Amino acid sequence: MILFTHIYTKEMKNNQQNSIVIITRFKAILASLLLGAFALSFNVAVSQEAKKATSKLAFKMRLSSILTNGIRSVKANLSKMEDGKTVSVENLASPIRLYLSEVKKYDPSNGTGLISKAYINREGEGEFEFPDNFNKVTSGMHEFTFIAKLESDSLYQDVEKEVTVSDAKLTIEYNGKDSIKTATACLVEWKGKEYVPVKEGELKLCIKRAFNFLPFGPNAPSTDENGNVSGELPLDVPGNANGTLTIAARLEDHETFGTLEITKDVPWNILPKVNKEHGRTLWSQGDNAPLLLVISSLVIITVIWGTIIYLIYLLTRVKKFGKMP
Amino acid sequence: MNNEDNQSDRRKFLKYGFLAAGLTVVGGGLQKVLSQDKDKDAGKKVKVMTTDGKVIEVDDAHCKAAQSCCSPATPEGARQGIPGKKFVMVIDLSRCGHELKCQHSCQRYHHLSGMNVWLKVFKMQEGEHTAPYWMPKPCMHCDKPPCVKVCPVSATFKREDGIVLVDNTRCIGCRFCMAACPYSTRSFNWEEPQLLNETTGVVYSPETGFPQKKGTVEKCDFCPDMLKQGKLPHCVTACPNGVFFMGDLNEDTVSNGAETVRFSKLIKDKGGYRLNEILGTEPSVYYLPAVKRLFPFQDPLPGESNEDKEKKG
Amino acid sequence: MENKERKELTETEAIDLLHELNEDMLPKKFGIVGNSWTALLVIMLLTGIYCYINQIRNGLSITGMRDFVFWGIYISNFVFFVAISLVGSLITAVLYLLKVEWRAPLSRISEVIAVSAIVFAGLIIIVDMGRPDRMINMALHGRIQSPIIWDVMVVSTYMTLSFLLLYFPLLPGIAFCRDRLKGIPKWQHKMYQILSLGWKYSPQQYAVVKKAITILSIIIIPVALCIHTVTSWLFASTYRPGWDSTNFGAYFVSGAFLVGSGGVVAGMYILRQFNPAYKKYLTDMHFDKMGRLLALLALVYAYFSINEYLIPAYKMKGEEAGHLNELFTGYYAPMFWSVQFFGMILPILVLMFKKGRKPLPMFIMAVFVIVGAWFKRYLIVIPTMSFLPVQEIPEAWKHYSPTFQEWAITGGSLAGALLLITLFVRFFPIISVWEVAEEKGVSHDIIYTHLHEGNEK
Repeated sequence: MILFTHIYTKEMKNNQQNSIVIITRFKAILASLLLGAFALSFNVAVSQEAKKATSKLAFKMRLSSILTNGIRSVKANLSKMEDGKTVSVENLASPIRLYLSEVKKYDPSNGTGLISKAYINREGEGEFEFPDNFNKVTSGMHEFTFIAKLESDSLYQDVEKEVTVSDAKLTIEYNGKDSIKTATACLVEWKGKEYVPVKEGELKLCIKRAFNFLPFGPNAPSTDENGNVSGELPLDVPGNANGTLTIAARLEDHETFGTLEITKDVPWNILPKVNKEHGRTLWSQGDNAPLLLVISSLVIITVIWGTIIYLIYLLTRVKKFGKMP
Repeated sequence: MNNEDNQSDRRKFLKYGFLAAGLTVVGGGLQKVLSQDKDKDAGKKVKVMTTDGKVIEVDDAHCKAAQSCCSPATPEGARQGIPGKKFVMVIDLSRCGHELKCQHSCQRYHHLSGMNVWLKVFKMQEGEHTAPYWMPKPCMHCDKPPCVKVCPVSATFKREDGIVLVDNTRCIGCRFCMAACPYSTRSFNWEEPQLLNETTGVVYSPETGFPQKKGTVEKCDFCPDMLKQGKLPHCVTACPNGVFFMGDLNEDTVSNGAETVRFSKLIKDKGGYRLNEILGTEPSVYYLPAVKRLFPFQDPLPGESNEDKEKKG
Repeated sequence: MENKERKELTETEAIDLLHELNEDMLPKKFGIVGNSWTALLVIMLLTGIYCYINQIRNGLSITGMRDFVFWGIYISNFVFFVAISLVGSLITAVLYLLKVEWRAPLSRISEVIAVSAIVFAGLIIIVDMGRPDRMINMALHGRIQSPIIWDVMVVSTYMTLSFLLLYFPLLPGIAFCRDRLKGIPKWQHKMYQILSLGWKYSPQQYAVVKKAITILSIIIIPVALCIHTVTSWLFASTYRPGWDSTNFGAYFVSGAFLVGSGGVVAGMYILRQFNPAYKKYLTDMHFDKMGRLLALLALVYAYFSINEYLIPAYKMKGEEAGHLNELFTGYYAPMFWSVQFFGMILPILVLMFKKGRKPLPMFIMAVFVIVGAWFKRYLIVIPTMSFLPVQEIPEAWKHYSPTFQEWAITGGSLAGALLLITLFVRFFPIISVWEVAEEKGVSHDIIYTHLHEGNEK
């Protein structure tokens, strides 16, 4: 096995240069924006730099609606093309505004329908958080049209994107009494006056984990005529530290309902593994060094430096004898 | 105002501008103070139209506030680790096509400049008649880390959750850790790092590794700032082929974003192994052998990834 | 042996000898050679300091080191300094405890070499640090598990002990300078006054000094072994082929004794050329003895070298093979074989013969040993990092070649160490009068009562 190998590629370097160029451009643009905003005078160089950036950048926005345990949220993903590659938008300074409207009744000019705004993070994602009373206000609604708008950003073009989702509900039941433990999830949608089961929905059963959902049950899950999907839980999977297991049902990126998700904590007797206590080791921090090492080095240091101190005392003796007649 | 003052004012001004611009969620608070949106929206009620045609007012939504649990920790706080977790990575060599997306993403999100590369992808061929394959190599985050053993000042440390980090506010630059690491994962800032503007004014955290500092060592950190938020590291999400799996060993699950599987089963089914087990360093990174490959092995021209080749051809 | 038998000295003979010794050993002003030598060293040192300031400003990027070869000549030079400083413990302590009498005129030379080398070992290791401004972290956050902390502790301990071992026997010499040197600047006199600690040649003071020397000689030996063993552990505690060796401690220590003894021989020769009076004390006999010692040490070193290279070469484990091939037949082969031949084999061959142990051939061999040892350290530190297969990196990164500034800093440190030695020779007696007198058979009583009599004469 070759242990010590390193790699640098030309491409790597090019890429960095590109990003630097982009950032430099961005710098100029941002500077000019702030210039205007604060109406301050700066040296000519800046404004000249700023003039270079006349056309704004285009980007794509993807909107997705997520309903997690009855709480609705909307996510935006922004991407753009850069040298023929799709990369996420990471330097958007302006917020994206989100409006709620059925059939374009929103009005950005006076703020009608504005329910949230979000800033994009470095991965090009933004999550809109809704007001606390959102559910109450929209309790009568069974179809939601979300419109996300970016307006008058200094760097990017204006973009408007809408997503419409219909009302649907998820429930999950757990049966842990037998030696075989199962879970059943049910998907219903609003049709006319009431909720009715959805057939052939790709409803996945899974266990919530640190980063993602670990699927269990059928390989290609599909709801039956009652909107149900059932699955057997793996019996050896470790649960949460508090003696529960978080089971979940997920309908992912459905064209009518968006993403639906429901979770439920059920009692579970397999605890997650506990990290080994390493105690005093060679790779601990200084205050946690192996005792034998600490003691032996202290002994050695004491002996040697004790002798040195004695020798320095001897020097003072020399001086003392020098003063004696 | 003389020219020099003008310059420095401008610099200061730009600095604050970038601080605002370089916002992730964290920057949000400051953004509010600086951006002109403040006046337009603050304290305003917004109108929502309900199904029955009534227009009602709700409180203005605010941009999602940074949660203290998720902002990168201070150098002292970063030593703790996420309680109860033990992070592992699985790298499936059979899926690697040397597109280097992982590396680019890593460089980009860690604001790495200059020649320091945290995640390297090697062409491996151990013997004349053995098969060549690509091997992405992050830091192994060993459970018995030789680099941590030799550090004179605890600048590099092993956390409870298995992650080995470097605190560049403490590092004295002796480079002993680089000598001790049998996987050569560490880089040194030989000169003043060319800090990208986005990092100007950003407070350093060992969990993000930037801004870098001259005369200190740095390396792959498993992106603990992402892990904290329940998100996968940048190399994992960037890989188009799902080469990288990341997860918590204690809950026996790893995920590459698209697939989430039991760690023990994956290792058992595909014959996972660790690099240089013989050294006793106990890496946290597991490899799955390059069998039944997704791509035929293609050696790109020097300094060129396969992806570039495709574009040209 | 016959020639070792002490001649019976009459009291008058003894007193005369003592006075003659005193006169010979008084430090003298430098002539043109001495001054230009000093000036050269000062210039080199200042150049080094200038480059170091530049390094602080621009980072270690001014050196030839990069991520692959991340330790360079600063580290190999550090190892060299540590190695050569070990001689203090050998000549002064080991030979003292063994009651080898001919060592008396050599002990101070070796101790001066030891002190100046260890001082600059401490400095050059700071030069290698990326963040010397954070040195305090070693105290604030020190980890006892780290070999670097062990090294810091043993280097500082050895520095203190070496200084004491230089200082105690020097006290009568300083006092004599204080009393006898006339027409010297005020500060120089003041310096002697302070440093002599009120020495008045009293038997009690001699007793204290003798006791201190005995204690020091005993305690400095384990510390000296530690210092170079720990330095070898900086390498041996890693997994790298060429460093990952259990032989390293003994190998380093034996090499250190060799280069240190070489240093003493060179020092002896230069002193004789510099001041013919020293020829009376640094005699051909001394060269002969040192020649035997040097040959013995070179043989021991050869033994450990064989262990270090031949056994891995017999197995040729994958990674070791890369390293060894690079040394034996590859890029480093010319340097490797020159170092082995001139730094070890040739001295053994030459010093086997009585004619080879005359001052001039000895001096030449000593220079070979020293220069060879410096490059030997280079070969221990650098090739192990640079033979490794690296992929797609700039060509310049594959092989390490020190930059001019790096050489200047390293050269500055070597010049600095030599400058310390030079200044010592300028201001202090380089041969210990009372110890040589003892060696020559002057009784203690006479030394105690007459050593200071130069005053009245």
